[in-house]
Amino acid sequence: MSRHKRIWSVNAPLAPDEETIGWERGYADGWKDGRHAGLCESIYVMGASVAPARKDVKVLYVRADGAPYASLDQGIEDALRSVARETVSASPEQDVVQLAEAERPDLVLVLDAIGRSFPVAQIDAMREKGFRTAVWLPDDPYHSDKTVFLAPHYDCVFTIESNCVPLYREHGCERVHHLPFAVNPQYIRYSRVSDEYKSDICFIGSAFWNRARFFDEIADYLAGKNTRIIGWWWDRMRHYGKLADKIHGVWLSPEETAKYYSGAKIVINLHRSADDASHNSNSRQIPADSVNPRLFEISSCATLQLVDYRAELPSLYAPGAEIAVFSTPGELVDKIEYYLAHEDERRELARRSLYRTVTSHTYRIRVERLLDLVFA
Amino acid sequence: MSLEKTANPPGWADGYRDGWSEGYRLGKCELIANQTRFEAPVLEVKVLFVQSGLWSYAPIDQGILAALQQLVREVQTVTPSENVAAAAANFRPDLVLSVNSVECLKTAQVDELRGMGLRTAVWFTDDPYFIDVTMKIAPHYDYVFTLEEACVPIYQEQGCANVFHMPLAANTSIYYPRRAERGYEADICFIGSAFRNRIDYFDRIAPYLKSKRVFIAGYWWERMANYPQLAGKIRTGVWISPEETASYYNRAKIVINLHRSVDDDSNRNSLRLPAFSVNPRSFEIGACAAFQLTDTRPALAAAFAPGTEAVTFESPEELIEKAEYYLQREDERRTVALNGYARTMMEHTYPRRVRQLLDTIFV
Repeated sequence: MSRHKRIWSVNAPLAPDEETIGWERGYADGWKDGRHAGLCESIYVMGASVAPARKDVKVLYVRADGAPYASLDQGIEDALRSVARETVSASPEQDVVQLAEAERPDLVLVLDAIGRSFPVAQIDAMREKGFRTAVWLPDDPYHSDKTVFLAPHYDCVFTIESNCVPLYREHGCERVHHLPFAVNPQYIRYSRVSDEYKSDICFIGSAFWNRARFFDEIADYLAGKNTRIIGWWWDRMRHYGKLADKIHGVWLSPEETAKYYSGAKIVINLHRSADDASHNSNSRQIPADSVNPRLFEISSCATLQLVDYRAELPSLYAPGAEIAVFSTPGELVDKIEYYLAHEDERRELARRSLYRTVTSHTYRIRVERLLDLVFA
Repeated sequence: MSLEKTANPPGWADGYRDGWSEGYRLGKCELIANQTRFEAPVLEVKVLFVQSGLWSYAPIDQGILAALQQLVREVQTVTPSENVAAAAANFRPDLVLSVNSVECLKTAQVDELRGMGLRTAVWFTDDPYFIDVTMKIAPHYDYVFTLEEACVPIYQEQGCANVFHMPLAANTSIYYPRRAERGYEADICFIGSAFRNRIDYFDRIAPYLKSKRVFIAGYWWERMANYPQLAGKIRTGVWISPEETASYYNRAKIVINLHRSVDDDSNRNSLRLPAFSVNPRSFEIGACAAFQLTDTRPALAAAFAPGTEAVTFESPEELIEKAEYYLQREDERRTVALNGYARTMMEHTYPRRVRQLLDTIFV
C-alpha cells in the first residue's frame, strides 16, 4: 500500500527504484501465470458442464487400494457416482461375495493391482451366484504372465494395452476391450502454487532402468537447468551425483504431484519399458503401445508435456499440436530448449492438451464407455 | 524441500500478485469473447446510415456503422450536414437509418426521403430526457426505435405505427477488457456529468469516499457542497475520452453507475416521463469486464441480473455498504464483473442489437 501512496501523491516523476523494477517484473510474471490460470479454469468449467450420460445400474466397485493406484481408484469411483444409479465400494481385502449378496449389484467391477490381486475365487463364487463381473487391468502389458490367469475368470475384461486384447482372447476371454487410462480433472488440475513447487523441467516417477539410463545420458544438461526429479530408485543412476541436489527420493500423492506439474514449465513423461526383467513379468514380451496414466495427469494440469512416442499416442493427443514428442535424448534436449524459449507456444499447446483431456479423456467418459460395453 | 530457491527482487511478490489477478481476469475474458463471438448471415439489403455527427456520440456512430458493415450487403454513411437526399437518390437504399437526438437530421430532409419512396427509421439515443423535442421528430419516420421503454406509448400516441424499444449497446472496439496503466487505478470510479441527482448522492457519500482511492471526472462537479473534501479525487470540467474512460473502468475495483434523473433542469421532458431502461453506460462498464455498482431502474433486470451480473443500491447508505463489502472481496467482485461481461457480450453489443433492429424491419 505504501508504494501506491508514493506513486500517487508525488507529482514529480520518480526514478524507478529497485522495488519498482522488481514490481514490474513480478507483475509481468504474475500476469502470464494468471492469464493461463483464467483460460484453464474456463476449460475445466466447460468440461464439467457436460451432463453425464446416466445409466440405470448399480455397481459394486472393488478398489485396487495401493498407493500407486490412488488416483485411478479415486477417478473411477467418482465417475461411477456420477454415471451409475448407485455405487458401492469395497476393498480387495474384504469379503466381497458377502457384500454382493447383500447389495445385489448389476455389475461387480474390479480394478486389479498386480502383486495384491483380488482373489479370483471370490469372482468365481460371484459368477456362480449369477453376478456379472468385469475387470480393468491397469498394469498391462508389464505383468502379462500373471494377468493371463486372472482375466478368464471375469465376464468382461478391459485392458489399457491394445496388444493384450488378442492375448486374452487366446486364453478364452470372450469379451475383451481396450480401454485406456484417463484422469479426473476435478482433482488433478492446474492450481496456483507457491515457489517451492516451481521448476523449469520436472519429472515425477520411479527410476525404472530404462529411465535411469535415459537420464544418465542427459545428466549434464539437466544439471545446468532448474530441474526437479521426484521418485524412487534414482540413486541407481551412474551420474546420480551430478543431479543429487535436484532429486528427491519420495513418493508423492496425486494432489502433490499435480502441484509440481502446475509449477513446472515442462514435464517429461518417459514410459517404462516392456522388457525390464527386474520389474516386469512379461515373458511373452508383449510390446507396449499403450500410454501411462501420467500422460493424462500431466495434460490435465495444463503443463507442456514432452513424452516419448508410443503407438497409441496419436489417437489420444495430436503430437506437435496438443503434446510434444521425443524419441532420443538429443531430441528431448532440443525440444526442452525450444519450448523454454517459446513461452506462448508452450502454454498454448498445454491448454489445447487440457481441452482435449476434459473433452475426451476423463474417467467419466471411460466409465460411460465401460458400462455401455458391459451392458451392450 | 530446498531445491535452489531463486531469490526474487524486492517488490516482485506484490507485482506478481497484482499481475496474476489482472492476467486471470483477462484470460477469462478472452475465452468469453471467443465463446460469444457473433456471426450472422449477411442481409441482402442496402442501408444508408445517417450518423448523429456529434463528436461525443462517436462511439455510438462508429459502433452502429461497424455493425452494419458486418450485417448487410452494402452501407453508405452520411452526416446530417451533408445533402442526405442527394446521397439517397444516388444510392437507392432499402433503408435510411438515422441516429438521432436533439439536433441531428432535420425533419424536412426526412420528409424528402420519404417523398422519394424510401423506408426511413430513427433510433433515439437520449430518451426520455428530450422527449419534448423527439416526440415531434418521430412521426416523420416509418420506424421509430427508442432506447427507453417508457417512450414507446408516447410515440404511438403521436401516430407512429411502428415503434420499438431498442436499447443501445457497447462499442466493443473501444470498451473492452484490457490491461490499463497503473495511473488509472482507483478503488471507486465514476465518470459522467454532475447532474443534480448525482450531486446530491455524491455529497452524501463524500465523507466515505474521502478515505478511499477515488476517481471522479466530468462536467459540473464543482457544484458539490462537499467538493473541497474530495478535491484531489475529482477532475471537474473535463470530458474524458471513451478510450480513457475504458482504461479507468478496466483499472477500477468498483465502477459506479448512477442514472441521470428525469427531472434535471438540463432536460426537455416537461411531461416528466419516467425512465425504465438502463443507460448505455451500463453496457460500456459491462464490456470492460468491470464491477458495476448501479442504482436501479425498473427494467434493469432485463439487461443485467441484479446481484450476479451487476450489484445494485437504492440509497447512498446502501451504496457505501456494498462498496465496502465488495472492496474487501476480490474474488466475488471478479465473479460479478465476469458475469456482467459475459452477459454484455451475449446481448449488449452493436452487431447483436443492430441485427435485432434490422430483423424488426426486414422480417
